[in-house]
Amino acid sequence: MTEPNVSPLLSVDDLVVEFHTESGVVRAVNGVSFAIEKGATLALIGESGCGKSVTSLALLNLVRAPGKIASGTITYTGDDGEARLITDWKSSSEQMRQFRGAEVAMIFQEPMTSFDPLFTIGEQIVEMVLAHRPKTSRSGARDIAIDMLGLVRLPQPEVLIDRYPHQLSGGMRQRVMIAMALCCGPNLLIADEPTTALDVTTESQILDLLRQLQSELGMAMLFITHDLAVASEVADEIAVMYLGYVVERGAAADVLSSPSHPYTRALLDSLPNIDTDPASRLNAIKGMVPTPDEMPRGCPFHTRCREAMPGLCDQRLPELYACGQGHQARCFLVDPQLEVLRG
Amino acid sequence: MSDTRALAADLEPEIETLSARPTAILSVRQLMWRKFRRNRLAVFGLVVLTVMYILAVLAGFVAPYGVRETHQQFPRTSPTAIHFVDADGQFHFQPFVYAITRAMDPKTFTMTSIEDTSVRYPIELFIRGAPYNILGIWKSDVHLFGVEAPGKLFLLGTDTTGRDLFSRILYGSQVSLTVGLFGVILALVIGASVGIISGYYGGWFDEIVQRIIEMTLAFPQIPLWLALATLVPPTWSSVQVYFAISIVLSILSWGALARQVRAMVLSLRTSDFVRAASYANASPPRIMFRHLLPSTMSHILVIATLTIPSMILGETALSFLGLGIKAPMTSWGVLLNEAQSVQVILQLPWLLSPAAFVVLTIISFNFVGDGLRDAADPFSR
Amino acid sequence: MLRYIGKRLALMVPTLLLIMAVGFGIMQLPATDFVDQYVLQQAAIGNTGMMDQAENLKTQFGLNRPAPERFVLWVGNFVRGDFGISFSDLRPVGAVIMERLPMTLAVSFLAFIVSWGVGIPLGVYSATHQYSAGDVGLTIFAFVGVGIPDFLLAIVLLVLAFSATGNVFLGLSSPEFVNQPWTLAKILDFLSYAWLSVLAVAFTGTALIMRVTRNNMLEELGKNYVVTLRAKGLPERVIIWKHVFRNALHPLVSIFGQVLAFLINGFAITSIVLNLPTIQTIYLQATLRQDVFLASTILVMIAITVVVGNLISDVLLAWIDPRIRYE
Repeated sequence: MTEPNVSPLLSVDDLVVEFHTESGVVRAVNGVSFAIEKGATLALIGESGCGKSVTSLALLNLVRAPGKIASGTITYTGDDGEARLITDWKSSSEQMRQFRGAEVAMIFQEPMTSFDPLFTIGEQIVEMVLAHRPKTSRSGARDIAIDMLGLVRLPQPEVLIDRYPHQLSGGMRQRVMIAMALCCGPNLLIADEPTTALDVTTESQILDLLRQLQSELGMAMLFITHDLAVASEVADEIAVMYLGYVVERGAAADVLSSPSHPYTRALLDSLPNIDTDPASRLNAIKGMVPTPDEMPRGCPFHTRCREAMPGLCDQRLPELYACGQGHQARCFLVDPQLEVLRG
Repeated sequence: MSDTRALAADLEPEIETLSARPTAILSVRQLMWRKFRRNRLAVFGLVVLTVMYILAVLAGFVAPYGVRETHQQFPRTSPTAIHFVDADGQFHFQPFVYAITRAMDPKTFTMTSIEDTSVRYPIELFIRGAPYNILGIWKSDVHLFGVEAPGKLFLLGTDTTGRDLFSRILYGSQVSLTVGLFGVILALVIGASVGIISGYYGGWFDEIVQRIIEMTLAFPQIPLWLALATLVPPTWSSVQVYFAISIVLSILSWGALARQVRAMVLSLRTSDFVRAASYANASPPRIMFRHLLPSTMSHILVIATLTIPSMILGETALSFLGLGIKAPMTSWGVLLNEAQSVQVILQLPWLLSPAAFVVLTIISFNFVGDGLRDAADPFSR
Repeated sequence: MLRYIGKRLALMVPTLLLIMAVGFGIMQLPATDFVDQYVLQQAAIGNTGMMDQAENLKTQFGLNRPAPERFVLWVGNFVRGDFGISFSDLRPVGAVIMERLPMTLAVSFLAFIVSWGVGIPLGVYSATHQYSAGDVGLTIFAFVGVGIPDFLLAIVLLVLAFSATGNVFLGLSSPEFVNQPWTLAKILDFLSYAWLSVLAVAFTGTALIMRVTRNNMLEELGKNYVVTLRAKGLPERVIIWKHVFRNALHPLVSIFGQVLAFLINGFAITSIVLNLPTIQTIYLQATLRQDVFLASTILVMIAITVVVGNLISDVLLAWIDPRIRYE
């Protein structure tokens, strides 16, 4: 639990991101709030298109036109203890540039396409070091790069540094990606589906590595995934997103053991379990995620919800109601006044 | 059994939501059209081209004068001014022109036109004039617009022998707009056939064809066009020259086309529908021309649209140099041929007006080609 | 890499041979030859005495031998640097071409530099300011540039320059500098004429390169690695020029040869219209007069430029892209 006087590393309040398209304004992120403590891991969970990647890009003010942060605040409190309001900075400002990579770094899903194919991985790390520490010499930056490659357990870093991205395997590339992200000692690492494109063995190696590095370096992590199993391995806290809304959030253990939102329950139900009868069908969630431009009225999930209450869920948007210690869900089922509402 | 019931119950709402969805399933063609329509420049280009081709077909009707009609008293006459307000300051809803008299400018010793404001000729619709014949099926002498006889209406002025430039531009478009089209069709037939056959069979045949295409691509296009155009015997008739120029224009273009078609065929050769066809004992020609050709059609269309401008430019350039279309046939290049020297242009600047039609046509083809290229990939973005 | 270049060079030989054959062959197609034309011309101005000398001339020029034999002879000499003689000038083809080559190369080179030097920055600007007023303006410029035939542009510029200055900028030098050695004064004089043809030829090239640059830049800007670069906190300038531009250069370099061919092509007709002392102008005259060796040699030289341009673009491509280099 948060100490009253210590502010979290990063806090997001009521963030709204809109895309202005030909067919109108689409809200990809709809009043999202969360906080990440120093050294802790928050997992942002949801299906593709739920706004989790846009949220992560918004943290670095990297949402590209036609999208933009419409309202809400992002506050970052770094090592100096000074709270900085990132949403006040222009995307192209020098402050913002120095913030990216140095304070908050990011790794991506597709390690293949996330590198510039024309430069050696060494050059791509070196240029980042130099961008944030202009006083470092080139050879000094190269030494840092070699150290970082060693840190992510890559063999022969002094050879590897002169390789091009296309000469490495997917797992190696993701390790390089992590090495690059960590080269300026960020306090927060945003990992956007870092293991989705990898095979299962590599995935668990990368997850192990991330956990080890986190404890070695004491950084916080925002882990974005659609995979509950992965989230349960790494997260201290979990926020579940659906169609741009946070529908449930709380400590990882609480959310996973006593999911309070029907969507979270459905997600958990759809996971294969060792105890499940192999002959039975997996419980898929019925229907498809509506596209953001056909956002349902009322609760965003009511079109697919097994427990939807007609006349209520399709009329009003539920708030986030407390359903435990630091555990909230955006569902009328946990609304203390449910009986009143039902009449 | 409860399982199946549960499953059925599960499926039911899904079917409902599917059928209730407002979005209908669109065919690829509809998707392409939708995407094309969203590109404003492409639509603009398409509209311009449609109007141009309609004007070309109806040239006889739209042009106020015949293609060879000379107005001997009015050589080198500047475009006729169209008025709404007469010399007395009175406004007329029907636009009119004044009678023109030619007089020697005492200072420059050149003939200039003077408006005689005492005689007005209102511009009228469906007026009788020189007889014409559209596509050999419609003979008439009614023109869309014009002025009563001794009055003259030269929208874009006249040339050195007194022929109405606007009318000649319309007639010229019949040649300029089709010579490239004909050339492209030729290049397409050769290029697509060679591309499909060499892509489908591969092996040594493909290897040789590729080398030949590489050689044609290294050929300097315009010098070769010049050389070939000089070969056209001066004794040939206009129609023969017309087809000869089309062939000259298509002679190097098929190579690039064949190459692109081949690349597509190579990627399609192993696809399921081609395999299915060959398991069904379809003959190679049938596979190539019934199955592969239609799948490459949209790309062929794009390439064709983007090739036409260079052919129109080629015809214009050749005719401009006097190596292409020859009188009595007329084309935009032939018309521009009169505007070669600085002196002539300074005196008769309106002789450059065919250039505006050339530029507009080429830009429009480029717009449409760009739009088609984006639309040919209807699932992107 | 060297092997690759060697292979490409080896492939050039048959290509050039074919071009030589076609260039030579076209000249043989008409029933008449240079001497017949010449004699007819002389007869037309009343000089009938030439009729008797026709056979002599034909023997002198080797025109009475069969065409294939003449072709083999010519190719044999060509390889040794002897391109034959120009019938109309009665001088070696090499000398006629050399006279005009410096001017030709100078104008082509300037046009080439201008097209790339102006087209690329404008294209990058256009892509990084997509849908801004500047981008829309440049897009319109590009479409007009590609649409307007350069020889027409040359004429319009000629007329405009005449109205403004009273000079007619035909040719490439003032009369007093013709056949003078290259001095600073001559170079300045050359530039005072050349700007018009360079502008006319480079206009279309610039538009083309700008368009391709813009499209490539936009495509690259949409790729994943650009997000990574931004998230790394690199300055925008570095992202655009060091990374995105270098990636966008890839397709640009592959059209390097094409643009070269395009400029040479466009230049051909502009040269003729502006009556520039270039090899393209003399090419047309030579073709019309069936001056076989002169015309064929020029055609081959132009083809060599195109082929070498393509080779350079392939080598550059391998040089900037490690994926090709390490294949």
